[in-house]
Amino acid sequence: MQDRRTFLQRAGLAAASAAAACRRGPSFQALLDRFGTSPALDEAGAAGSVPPIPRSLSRLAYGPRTGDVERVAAVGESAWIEEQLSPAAISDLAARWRVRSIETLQLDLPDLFDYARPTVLDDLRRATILRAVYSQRQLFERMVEFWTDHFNIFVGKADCAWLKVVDDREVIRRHALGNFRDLLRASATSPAMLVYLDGEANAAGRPNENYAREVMELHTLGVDGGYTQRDVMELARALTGWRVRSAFWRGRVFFEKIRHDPGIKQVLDLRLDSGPQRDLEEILDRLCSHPATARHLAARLVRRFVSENPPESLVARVAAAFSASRGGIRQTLSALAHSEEFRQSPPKLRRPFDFAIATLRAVGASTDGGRAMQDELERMGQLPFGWPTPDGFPDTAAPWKARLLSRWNFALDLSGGRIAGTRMDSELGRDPARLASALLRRPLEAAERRALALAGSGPEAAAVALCHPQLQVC
Amino acid sequence: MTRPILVVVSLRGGVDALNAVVPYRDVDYYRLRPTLAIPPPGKARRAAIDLNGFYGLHPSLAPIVPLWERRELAVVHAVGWPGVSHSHFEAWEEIEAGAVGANRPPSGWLARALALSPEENASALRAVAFADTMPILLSGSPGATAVRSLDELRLAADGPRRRSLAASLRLLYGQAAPPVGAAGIAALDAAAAIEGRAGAASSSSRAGSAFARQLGMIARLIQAGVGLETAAVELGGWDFHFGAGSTEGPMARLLAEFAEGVAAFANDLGPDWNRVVLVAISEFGRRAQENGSGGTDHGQGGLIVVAGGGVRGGRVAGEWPGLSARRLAGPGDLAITTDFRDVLLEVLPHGLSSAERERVFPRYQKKRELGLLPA
Repeated sequence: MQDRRTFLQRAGLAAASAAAACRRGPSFQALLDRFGTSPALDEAGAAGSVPPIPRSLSRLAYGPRTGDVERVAAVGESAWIEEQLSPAAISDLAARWRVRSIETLQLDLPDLFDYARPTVLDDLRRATILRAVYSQRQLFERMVEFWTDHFNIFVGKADCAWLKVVDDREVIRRHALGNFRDLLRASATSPAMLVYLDGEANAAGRPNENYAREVMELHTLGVDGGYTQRDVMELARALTGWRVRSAFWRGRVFFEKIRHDPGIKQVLDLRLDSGPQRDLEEILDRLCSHPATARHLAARLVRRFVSENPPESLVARVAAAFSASRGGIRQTLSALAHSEEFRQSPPKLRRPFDFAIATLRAVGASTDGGRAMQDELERMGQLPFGWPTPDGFPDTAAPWKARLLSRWNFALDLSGGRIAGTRMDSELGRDPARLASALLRRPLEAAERRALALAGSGPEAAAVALCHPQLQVC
Repeated sequence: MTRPILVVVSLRGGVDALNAVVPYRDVDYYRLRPTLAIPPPGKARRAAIDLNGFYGLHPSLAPIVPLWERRELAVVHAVGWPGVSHSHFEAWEEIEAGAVGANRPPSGWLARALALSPEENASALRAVAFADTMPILLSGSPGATAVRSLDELRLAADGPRRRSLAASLRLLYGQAAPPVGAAGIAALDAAAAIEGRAGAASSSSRAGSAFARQLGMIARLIQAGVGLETAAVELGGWDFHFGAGSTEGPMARLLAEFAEGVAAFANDLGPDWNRVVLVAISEFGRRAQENGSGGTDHGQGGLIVVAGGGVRGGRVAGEWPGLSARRLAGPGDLAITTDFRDVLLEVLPHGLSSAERERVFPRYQKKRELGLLPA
């Protein structure tokens, strides 16, 4: 892999992003909100000679904002991917500026509990939407979404609304492009996970299998990963002793030796007898180095970013990259993103969150990510942190494709100015055919023109353009 | 009886069958459930409601007792399939696909059953799932719609604008490749089918849980005569590894939600209840012995509830395997005596050929007659 510094020099991106950072200083919010809505649309709509949206922008980012396609074309797709794989080097004032005033995001436990559940949830969801829309670190945000599903936590359970704020920050975001072993370790002792999957109730003499099963089935080995019911029961014993404080220092995790099962446990091919907290480390080491884990994660990544029928050749290569880098998420993702299978993959149905965010980005809409926008996501079936079971929101087309009406209604609400705190340029509805052409980055076919003509002009007509079938896929 | 309208209730999370329909005469039950057990009928203020001298209903299921007494509700206990997974997700995939093991069809058994319909039903509302996402159960059924509420079937624009929008979208999606194109047309058809049927489309005025409201919407679709043949609805949250409670508590509340919803549904339907067969199913039962945190871990044998005006109810069907140590299966689970497909095959229309049955439940031969519906 090429050295990042050389790459930056070659692509000349360092200068470009510094300039961009100046342009998007906080005092230019108004400018930023309108950032290039019309000019580029004009440009794209005028002729047919514009580059198409590269796969990396539609899959590894939440679709292009104005100018993104040209920027990627200028530096080259693989250089863009490399840049995205090192998010720390990407200036991100636009997103940071928007989320920095969200107080609860920065708080720790137990202080978070001073805030009411709706406040905490609204804040976390608002930040999620704002970052997806505005962050320049798009791949990072995509991976945050991926791991949020992979280590799903439902905020409806017990104290999880508050605990998820910390999980989001210290587990998911901290390790999203880091090392899988660190991510798994952080998740295993995250108060949110200990509560959500009952790890805190798991004690010597009275084991609780919930987390032990899901950590192998969903987080690491996969359901066909070769573990047995006996492994689940033994692993539950090995993971006893981890607790979450309920009163004083509420939400803090601690290890209570007296609740740990000191006996010998046999999990997979591992004999665990080296004492309290070591059990956890040894089992996590074993799970992370297990070939089934590499395969399972590779398949999940490929399913998310490439195809719901993952090509075997690619899964094998991505799994190999995972193993070779000992769980390096960046390296694993790099193998996927630079592959031919990724570039050639067939269209994939956008999930509702993706569709909504991509729409806002495409038309340069502004959003505060507030309650009204969250309600839209809920109506489309994908309110962040709202999936009840530990498998996360589905990743295939079948569960989602029967809900298109709710997406159309989102587009109608958006173009009609009915989403409080979220606004798109109402002028865009003046010529829906031109809008559609700009969004698709190609001239329309005659039949498409006839269809759009039926919608007339005005906000509702703009919505039809936003609902174009081709914009439901990426 | 004509072809019944099939309403499938997915109780996601693994219902603790032993505490829902309690084998109170099995002494091992009380040994295995020191803190969670439901007391035998008459032994406490809140206790099991006797069904037949052996089984009793959890007291929170009281609202469905009238259905039982009218012999319109049957329970099949110790249901599952050989080698049932302890994984929620794998178990659901198998149940909803109607096939177990490798090489499962990607579509749902209900979708395939719908495709066998002898008469042509062109309604866009033949099959409606009330859920955030389309369950596997109805996947592969071209006309199936997934909504959380019937209001979602209305395009958010007024009068003539709505019609021109719909026409425009129809033209656009008509040219689009599958699956998006076909899905868009199906959505427009569903919106058209409900348009103008104010009664069917309005939100329920009835207070109650989301589950009860969704059953209420199904009742209105049936009464509005929009061509509904089957509906799917979900009630999740049964995965009580921790603090399930006994006669009171989280599981008791969820059972009450289920029972109140079903009772109101039967009541709403009036005479149409005779045309409906409601099947409530869960992915597996739970471990016979309670765990140390006031809950239960994943088990095997579970239960299916079948209800409807035409159901031969008032009985618990299936054989009781017992709870003694040597009768338990695997890590200590209720054994399975009835295959779930035996139950589901009986709610399919009568007179299907063996080839048709094979299409709905591939590689399966019916083992047990339960007689849940009159022959």
